[in-house]
Amino acid sequence: MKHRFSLIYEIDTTVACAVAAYLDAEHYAYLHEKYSPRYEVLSREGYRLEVEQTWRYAGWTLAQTYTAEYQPPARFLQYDIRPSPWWIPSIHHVVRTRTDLRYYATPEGEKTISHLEVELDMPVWLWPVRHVLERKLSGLKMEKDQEDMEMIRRRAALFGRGNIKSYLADHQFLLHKDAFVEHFGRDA
Amino acid sequence: MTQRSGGGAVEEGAGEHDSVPVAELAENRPNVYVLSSGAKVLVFRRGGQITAFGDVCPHMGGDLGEGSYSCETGTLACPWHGYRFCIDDGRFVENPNERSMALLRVPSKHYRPDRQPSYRLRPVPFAIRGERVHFEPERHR
Repeated sequence: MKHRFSLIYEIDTTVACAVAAYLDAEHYAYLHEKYSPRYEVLSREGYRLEVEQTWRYAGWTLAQTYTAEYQPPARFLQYDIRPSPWWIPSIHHVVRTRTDLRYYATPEGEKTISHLEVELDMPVWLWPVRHVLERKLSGLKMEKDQEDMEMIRRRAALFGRGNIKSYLADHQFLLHKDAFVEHFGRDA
Repeated sequence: MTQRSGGGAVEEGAGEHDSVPVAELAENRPNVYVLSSGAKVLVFRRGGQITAFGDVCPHMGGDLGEGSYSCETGTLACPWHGYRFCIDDGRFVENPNERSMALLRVPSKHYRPDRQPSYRLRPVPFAIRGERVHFEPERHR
C-alpha cells in the first residue's frame, strides 16, 4: 500500500545557493554528524550515485545504501533504499521509500521553495502507523534543513546573500559540479 | 570582552586593549572570547605556547569556535566540513573527505583539485604583558 505525502516550505536563500549546499557533500558527515556520521559514494553512473550512509536513531547507528539521482538543475531523487549489510533488521526490508526533492524560486524570485514528495510503499500491517513514519521523516528533514540554513545564514552574513563563489572555486569539490556550473553559471 | 566558553571570568568593555589573564586560559582546548569590537577569537594554550586565531574557517566560513579539538594532534576541525588545522601555526593539515569521496575526485572542466589553495587560520595579533594576554584592537577584524 502506498502512502504519499509532501513537505513544502520556503527557505530564505537563492535556488543556486540551496542547490550548491545540497551538492556540497563534504559537509554531510560533519555538519549533520548528529544524524548521519558517515557518507560514502560506492559507485557512480552519470548523475546516479550509489551511496552508503549511516544514520543515528534511538541510540542505534545503522547503515543503508541507496541510489541518489541528480536531475539538473535542482531536482534530487532517492530510491532503492536497502539496509547495509542486507541482513540486519531494518524497516527498509518491508517499506520501500522513494523521495523527490525539488528547489524552485518563489514568485518574487528572492527565496526558494523546498518541495519534497515522499512515497512509502508498505505492507498492510504497517498502514496504521503510516502517519508516525511521516512525522519521523518530516521531522528529520526539517532538522537537517535547519542546520543547513544556519550554515547558509552565517555565510550570507560573512560573504553576502546568495554568494556561492567559494563553491565555484576550481579546487572546490561538489557532486556533479560540471552540471551545476553549466546550469547556474559562474556568476550565480 | 565576553568569554563565550572556556571557563573563567566574564569581562565587559576592556577598553583600548582587550585582554585576558594567562592563568584563565584552559590548556588543550579552545578558549573562545568575543572582543569588545565584536570579533570572536580562539585562544589556545598548549605546553608553554599561546596562539590565537579568528573564528572564521578559511575554507567556507564555518564557526571554528564550534569545532572539535584534538589534544593528541594539536588540531582543530571545522564543524561544517571537517577540515583540520594545526593550532600551533594555523596551517591546513587535512581534508578528511579526500579519503571518503576519493572515487569522485577526478579532475573535470570545473573541478581542478590540483589548484587547492594553502588554507591557513587567520592569526589574531596579541602580546603578553605581565600576566595578561592583550589582543590588538581592530586588526583582528
